Amino acid sequence: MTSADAGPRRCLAAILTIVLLWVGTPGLPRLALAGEGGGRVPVLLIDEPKASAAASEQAGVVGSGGVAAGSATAGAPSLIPCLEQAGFVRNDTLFTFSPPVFEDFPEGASALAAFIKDRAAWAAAGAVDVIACGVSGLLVRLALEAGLVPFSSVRNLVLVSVPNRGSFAADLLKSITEIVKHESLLEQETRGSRYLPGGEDLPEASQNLPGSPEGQAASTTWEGETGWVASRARDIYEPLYAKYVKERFLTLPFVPVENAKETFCGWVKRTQPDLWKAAVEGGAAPPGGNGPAATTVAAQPPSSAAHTPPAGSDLSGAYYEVLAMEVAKNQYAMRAASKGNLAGALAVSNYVPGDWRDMLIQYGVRVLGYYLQKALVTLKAEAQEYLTGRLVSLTGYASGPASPMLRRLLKEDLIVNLGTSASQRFARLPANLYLSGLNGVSRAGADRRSTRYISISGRLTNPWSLLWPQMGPNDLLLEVDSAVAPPGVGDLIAVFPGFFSPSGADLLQDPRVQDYLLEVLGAVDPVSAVQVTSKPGEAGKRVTVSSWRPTYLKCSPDAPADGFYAAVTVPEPPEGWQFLLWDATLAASGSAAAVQALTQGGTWRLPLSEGDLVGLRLAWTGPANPVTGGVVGSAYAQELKVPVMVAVAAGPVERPAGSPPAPGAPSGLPEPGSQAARPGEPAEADEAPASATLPGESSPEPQPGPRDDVPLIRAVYRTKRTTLMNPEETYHERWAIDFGDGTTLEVQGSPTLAVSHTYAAQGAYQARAVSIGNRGEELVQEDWTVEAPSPGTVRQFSCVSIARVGADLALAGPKMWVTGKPANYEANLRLTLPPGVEVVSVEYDPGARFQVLWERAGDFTVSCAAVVKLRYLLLDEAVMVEDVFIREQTVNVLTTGVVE
Amino acid sequence: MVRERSFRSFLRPVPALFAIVALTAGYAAFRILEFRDSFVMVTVEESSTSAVVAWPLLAERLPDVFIDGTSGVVMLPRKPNLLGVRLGLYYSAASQGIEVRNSMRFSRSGREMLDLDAPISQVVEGLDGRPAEMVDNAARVLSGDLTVEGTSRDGTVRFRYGNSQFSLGPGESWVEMLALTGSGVRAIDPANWEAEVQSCLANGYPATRLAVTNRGFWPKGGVSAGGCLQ
Repeated sequence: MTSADAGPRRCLAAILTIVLLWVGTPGLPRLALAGEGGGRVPVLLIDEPKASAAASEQAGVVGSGGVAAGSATAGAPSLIPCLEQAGFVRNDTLFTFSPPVFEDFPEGASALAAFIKDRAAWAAAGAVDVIACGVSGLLVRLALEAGLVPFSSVRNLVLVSVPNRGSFAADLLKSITEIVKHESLLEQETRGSRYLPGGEDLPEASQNLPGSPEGQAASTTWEGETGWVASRARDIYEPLYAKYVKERFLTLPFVPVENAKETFCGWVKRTQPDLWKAAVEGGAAPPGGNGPAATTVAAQPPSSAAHTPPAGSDLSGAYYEVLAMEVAKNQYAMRAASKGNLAGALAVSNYVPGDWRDMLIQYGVRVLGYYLQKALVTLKAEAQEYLTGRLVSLTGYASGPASPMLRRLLKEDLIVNLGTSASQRFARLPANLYLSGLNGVSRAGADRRSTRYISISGRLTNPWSLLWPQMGPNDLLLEVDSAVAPPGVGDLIAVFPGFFSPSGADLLQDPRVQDYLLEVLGAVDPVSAVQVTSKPGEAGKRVTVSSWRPTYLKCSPDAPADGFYAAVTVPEPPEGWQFLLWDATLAASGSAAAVQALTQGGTWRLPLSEGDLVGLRLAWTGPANPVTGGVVGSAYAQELKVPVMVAVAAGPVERPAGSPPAPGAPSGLPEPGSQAARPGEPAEADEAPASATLPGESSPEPQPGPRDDVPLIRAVYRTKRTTLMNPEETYHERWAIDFGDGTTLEVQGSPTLAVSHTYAAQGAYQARAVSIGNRGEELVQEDWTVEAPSPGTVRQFSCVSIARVGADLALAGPKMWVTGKPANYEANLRLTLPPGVEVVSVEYDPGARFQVLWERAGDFTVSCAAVVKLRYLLLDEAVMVEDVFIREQTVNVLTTGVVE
Repeated sequence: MVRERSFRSFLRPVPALFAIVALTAGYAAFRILEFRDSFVMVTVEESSTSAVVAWPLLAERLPDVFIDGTSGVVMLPRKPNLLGVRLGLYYSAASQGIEVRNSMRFSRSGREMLDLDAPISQVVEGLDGRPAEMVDNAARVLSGDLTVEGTSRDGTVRFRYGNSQFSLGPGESWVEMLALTGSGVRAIDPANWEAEVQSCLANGYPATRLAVTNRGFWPKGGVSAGGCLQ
């Protein structure tokens, strides 16, 4: 599927948009709408680059105030009316631009920067919101990060299906163009010998392979991309491929291999370990020279040469090696298909000529067929070059196969199929050093920028993921992870399931996306915080932390206090993830936010002042499209939500030295390692007992897609726990009694103590009974003053401690299910209470009723927790106890093949 | 006058029916228990020298069956019901190192047939956007269908291929390579295979090797769904 499929629809949309724009030209309805857009931050809508967009660029960008031609909205005709209904006014607070296809990043970034600055000036606005689709989004990002447009000029940058970390489609296009180019070159080289009656021979494996001293001497030197790939393919990989085919597929007698699916790459790795290690695994650097230093590139003005690294210094050696393998395979197949000599063609059957005329016709046809077959190779090579050029320009990625833009959009990493074993099926290799360098710089400065990036992508189960795992699991041409810009703490990510097109403009037509855009752009205050207040009887609040959005907390004590702090208790983060905790007040004021990465579970104390905002989110630390065992995954395809406990307590916590105070609201977060922040430190019971007394709060930002009151948990990994709570019970186990006269006694068992003791001597004694709980802690302590008026005085001692309650937590739900459909579970706790015990509250985690949606097949465990607060009425006091009961159930999940 | 049948006469066949049902159930249970945790894995690998005619060969395409003999893993798009399955038959057809077909079948009876004579069609999208047939079936030289005639409890599998019959115990293989030369179809001599294959390649004569391997007992727990689908 290509964007060309949507051609007629886009034409219609363009006409419609032009009509709409005409209606909205100055002097007509604009006067009537004047003022409606007042107070709104202007929105600039930038379409994907298109080869036919040059005219609109000239018409619309510079100064006239007229909106660029309607092609900018061709992909999303319903978005403009939607924005207008929301109060945006064309030419006043709403501008569009359809850029042409650019040759390289700097050129595109400069053009888009000029448009943004021009529109911002026209609107006399301090800042604008930018919605950019496809490659345009990447170019706007670059314009911001290279300083062409100040961050302060763009409030929100909405990146719709933007190949932020490269695109599989660009990978595929680059492979095609290179293979075709080399096929054409080989065809020209071998044209003469092909038409000879004797044909040509298949290449034999070279004896001088790299890894051996001879091979090192024969290693290729960089003279240019085409020459380098051609020589590696011809000298090394094509002979190796011939050997691979011969050994693996043609050998007699047959010796079975254990890994029947081993690919050529896997075979090279196994049989030529030195070559693989030196050339592929060791190919992190570019073959033609030093790679672009990311910081240098980012620091240079986009017009400088540092921003346009030439071929050979922007892609890794590993990428070229794998490309050379692909080229070699194709060339082997090409040679095999053009094999055969004239004599063999003539003697293909036992034909016995009847007369000379018959013989002439018979052999003439055979000769003609033989040379026609040879000519087809030539024709095909010529036609392919033309068609690939057209194919590249059709996608809008680049003007042609030789355009630098195509190589800039290659994916950061290359996932190579080895096919060797289930656990080592894929290898990840660095590929696009230029793009990964830019993203590295972007990532490093992500927490300091004031522009909020909003990454929007479609997601669909990739039905071809078994065929093309490199594409990622959830998208056709633009993987979800690749569409996510290096996230800063305040950035948003939204992935809309069930969306089929890789085009960002198409995605903007989706009503869900439009609603989401209006919500995030319409909010004057982007921060909607969860209020956390300390109240008597409430020990804390459960807050959900998301991987797609920040969660803001506004903490305040119930009564004025000299100092107070928030105790944030986070569980152990899921594998590959970390919690980010930062001072959102500082970030909002433009100061450098003290962002801390919490890589382990524990309680963090944060000193606060009245009005301070604290931010929390989950961040992925691994590579895009992580490969785990034999599975290619996607970290951001689904929203990951983890509940954490937040409590507010009065008391001074030392502020970290050097923490910059925010204007008007002095606040600061502890630096890592400071006294105030001690990861892993357990919260003391009187300060922040982590008890789930309130239902979980949803994150403040609007969620895309349908909502439901019943919590839905998505499970990808088999280790997924549907509750992060652990079982915890508190009950009496034994009594330790000191009668005060040197006699002690231990009584196991019953929580009710009733013992007697005989004092041998007269006097006054201090007796003590201590109830020891199941975890070794002291639960109850009772002291007595005993007067023994005479020797042999017998005294009775009685006391009551915390008895264990009987609990039966039932979990009703399916034990066998399928992927892609939520399964309903219901938890129910039945308690058997001993005398003198009252139930204060029962809470369930993730809920009394919840749903689980599995993304993959396998045996999973569904678990549910019941948090019970009990009040024990002892002899002279009441004690509160919180127990957590866990119920687990194994579920066999089968796959339906499609995950919605 | 019609005599009414007594109630006892109705009950007369019940013990016989009960016995038949019990015997059938017992036999089914026996068959299931016989291969309760594992099945016999057979791989059939067909490889030709020149059956792929369309190129360029683009990005690496993975088949939808992945097997790993080292750890006894089979990955499939969907997880099958393996209750009572005693035979797993994996078939792969390749040419010039490129796989054009693969399949994985499971059999409870221990019998299966591979229709090798049936044409393989692998339609790929050409650069002009039109479908192009990738496989030249005339370049696949085979003797006929491959039939698995039975699977024994000890893992031995009986085959019939063309006019020949053979049995393979666990770990044993059988191979045949046929070439279509100017003088017709003939088997490649294993003793002189390199020269003969080189001759076929040089002359453009198609040749096909069919290799059948009994890979022994594979754990049913190693069969999983999803492949690389997350």
